[in-house]
Amino acid sequence: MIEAHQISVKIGAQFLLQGVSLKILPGEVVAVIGPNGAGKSTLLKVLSGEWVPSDGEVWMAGRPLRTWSILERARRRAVLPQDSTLAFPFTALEVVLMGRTPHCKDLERACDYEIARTALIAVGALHLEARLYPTLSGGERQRVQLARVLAQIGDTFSIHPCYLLLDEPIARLDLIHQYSTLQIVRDFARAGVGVLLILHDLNLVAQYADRIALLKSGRLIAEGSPWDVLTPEVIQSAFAMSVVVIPHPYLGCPLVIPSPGPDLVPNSVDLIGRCKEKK
Amino acid sequence: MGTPAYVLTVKSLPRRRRSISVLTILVILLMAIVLASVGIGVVRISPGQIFAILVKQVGISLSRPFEEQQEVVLVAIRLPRGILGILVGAGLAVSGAAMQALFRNPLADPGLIGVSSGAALAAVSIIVLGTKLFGGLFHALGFFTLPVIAFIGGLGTTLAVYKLSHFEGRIQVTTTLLAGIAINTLAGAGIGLLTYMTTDVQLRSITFWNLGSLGGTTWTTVGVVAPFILAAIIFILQLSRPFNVLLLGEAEAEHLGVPVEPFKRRVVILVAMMVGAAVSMTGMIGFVGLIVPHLLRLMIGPDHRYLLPGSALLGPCLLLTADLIARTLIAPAELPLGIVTAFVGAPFFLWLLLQDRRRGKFL
Repeated sequence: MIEAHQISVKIGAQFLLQGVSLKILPGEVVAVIGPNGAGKSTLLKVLSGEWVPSDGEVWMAGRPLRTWSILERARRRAVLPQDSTLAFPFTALEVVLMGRTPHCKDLERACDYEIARTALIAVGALHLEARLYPTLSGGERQRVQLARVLAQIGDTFSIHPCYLLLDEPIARLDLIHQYSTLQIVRDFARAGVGVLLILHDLNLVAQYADRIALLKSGRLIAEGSPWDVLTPEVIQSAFAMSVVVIPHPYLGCPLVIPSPGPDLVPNSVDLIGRCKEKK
Repeated sequence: MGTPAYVLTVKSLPRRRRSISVLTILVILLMAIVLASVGIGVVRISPGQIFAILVKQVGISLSRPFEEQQEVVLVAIRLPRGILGILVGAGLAVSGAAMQALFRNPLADPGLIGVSSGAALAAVSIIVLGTKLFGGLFHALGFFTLPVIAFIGGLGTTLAVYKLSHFEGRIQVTTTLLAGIAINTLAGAGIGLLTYMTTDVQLRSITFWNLGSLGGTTWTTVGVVAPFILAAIIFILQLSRPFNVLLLGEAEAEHLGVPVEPFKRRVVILVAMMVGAAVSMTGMIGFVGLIVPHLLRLMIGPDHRYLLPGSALLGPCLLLTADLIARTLIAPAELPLGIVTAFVGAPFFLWLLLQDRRRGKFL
């Protein structure tokens, strides 16, 4: 279990996170949602150990995360950042093989290749294995990076609990790959991996998450099952937007239908047009 | 991950095979260039004679005839010069590859980010102010004074540029290059000031520093430089894998189990060691560190497990060839080596810039 206990992150006088507690259990998918700037990525960075919280403590498997060495952490949890800039001409397969770094000494073994290729198959990108990473499209890169992250925990999650921390893993993907990626995540969770992911699409969250954590202005304002969190009142208070929530006709999970009124924002055409007139 | 739909054939990357053949070719090429480099000059020595002279040093005489003059030239002049060329070429090229990985920027070079000029400033300070201010140091360190001081100078500027370009855990490329320019200018001004204060004799050796040369190499020079550069290269070669992962990004490397901060510190110190030692004996030789890793990446890709040893082989090839040109073009006089590498390197650098712009990438 990864557990954040009363986490606060403060930069200058500003709190990015304030008193947030959250657990990720092996085998469950926890989705973090919230408006832009709510502290979602900060929370993920704290949970991964990249940032040390100003207050509070993160625990992994019963030990404070800061007592784990960087290598030990890497063998237990993989992190997919929001965007990765790799300007050097590695092939997609070589990028995925980098995910095996915590497990191999110098040269990759045959099993590392097998894991890397299987991860590429899982994300539907085996045909890209010989392509140079900088020449891939945004969505293809994201899938290759996901394969790298899957390869990192590929052969260890059956030995001890492993975790995936994914920051907007589907942001650049097309429709089919959004769903297939989340299906992969679900499959890994069913195999015992604890997953935390940051998502924006409330309906995908409703469909694929076991638990939802809703952040707003650095505070956890709601946590629970999709039906607990995705209510019109909670969504209104977090996103300042009215929605209708009905049961999904086939899946039974909540279906969130945004219904913005005409007065959602002031008429920008008028506002900007007026600036011109004044001149 | 479930059973794959079909059995995967696990075969080594074609790139790996290619890399190994390129490395083999480079070894052969380097041996050929070394033979040419120690054989060609005012006194010509054929490969057979070189071999005969070499085995004579360990007490075996062959029937192959050679003149005594050839033996003196080879053993006392050409051989130490060739070996220093190998060491410095390898050191500069490996430093370049390491810097490019550290800054995740194929345009980084020990020269561009101020390492060499910092080392040169320190070395020039010693030459000019040496007897006045550092007399005690000379006593304590002897021949090692220059490399040690140049190392400290190189380390100082590397750390300065590194700190300046670091912001909120990210290295900013433009800031890096601009900071490098500023540091280079500052070191250049320092060297200029010292040049202004100097005597005629010192002036000659300062000019030597600024232009770079393998001239005047003795076995003592080689003995002083070799431990620094060899040790640093051996250490850096051990770090190939972390170098690869670092190219993904610092956060990503840490998530993959690489302790990034200690790693970066180690690399900066090793680079300062190599460049400091090289600059202390040969002066500033630019562009080797920039060109060599680039050419190699075009041939074998960016994997540091091959790129670093490849740089250690191709660097000496390039440097010895440039040195051969430098001392034969206007023989019996000699061009400074730094001028030759700059004439080749600067256009290459511009070509790189244009390539990058064509790809729509700003540095």
